[in-house]
Amino acid sequence: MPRDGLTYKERIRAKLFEIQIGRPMTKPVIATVTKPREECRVALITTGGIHLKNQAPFTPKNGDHSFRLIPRNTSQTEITVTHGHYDETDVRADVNCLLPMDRLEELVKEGFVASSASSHISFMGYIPDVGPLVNETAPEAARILLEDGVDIVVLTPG
Amino acid sequence: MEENGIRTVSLMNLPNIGKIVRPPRMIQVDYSLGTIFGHAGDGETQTKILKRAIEVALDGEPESLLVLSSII
Repeated sequence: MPRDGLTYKERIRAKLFEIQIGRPMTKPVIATVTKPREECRVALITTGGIHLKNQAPFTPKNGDHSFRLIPRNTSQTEITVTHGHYDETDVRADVNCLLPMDRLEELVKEGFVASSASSHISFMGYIPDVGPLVNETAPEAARILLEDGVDIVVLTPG
Repeated sequence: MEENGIRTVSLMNLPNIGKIVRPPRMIQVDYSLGTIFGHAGDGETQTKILKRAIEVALDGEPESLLVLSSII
């Protein structure tokens, strides 16, 4: 195991991603902070391919730019994973490894933040053609969170 | 997200990708995909990382890249 915690397969894949993405993106837009942390609503977004068992699975084979809504307080027994490009053992046992919904609810209870999003969002991270993601599904996901009054989003890879 | 006033932080274990994608704020974690917040059942680590991520989302400088081990 390499010292940085990545498997050799992940490191090779990372190098391929670098080549595929190519040149750096443009400078990001930066949102202004308008309220203290204790008044913020937080959402989680993952590309770990997490979804409810009664939702359509992702299609990892050729890439998939769709997303699934994961309602707040969804239990582990309702959750499954469709990804195949990382070791899913831990997240199948405990979704908080990638989408720490339970941890977030605990932080809400203790007042660290005001509330959690009505639903968190899950994508599947193998998206060879990012055009539909950039032009369609990512803006739709942002719109949902905006309408829900979300102030902060924590994004995790998968 | 940020264009609409939502502050974000990206946890990444591939910092070279992050430098190309240029998210508003990044935290580099030394865990594999699938255990970005730590291993199954390790609520303490999951909480630590989540708390710090939320703080960085609000306090982090634009295009900052913080290494997790140095901030928790």
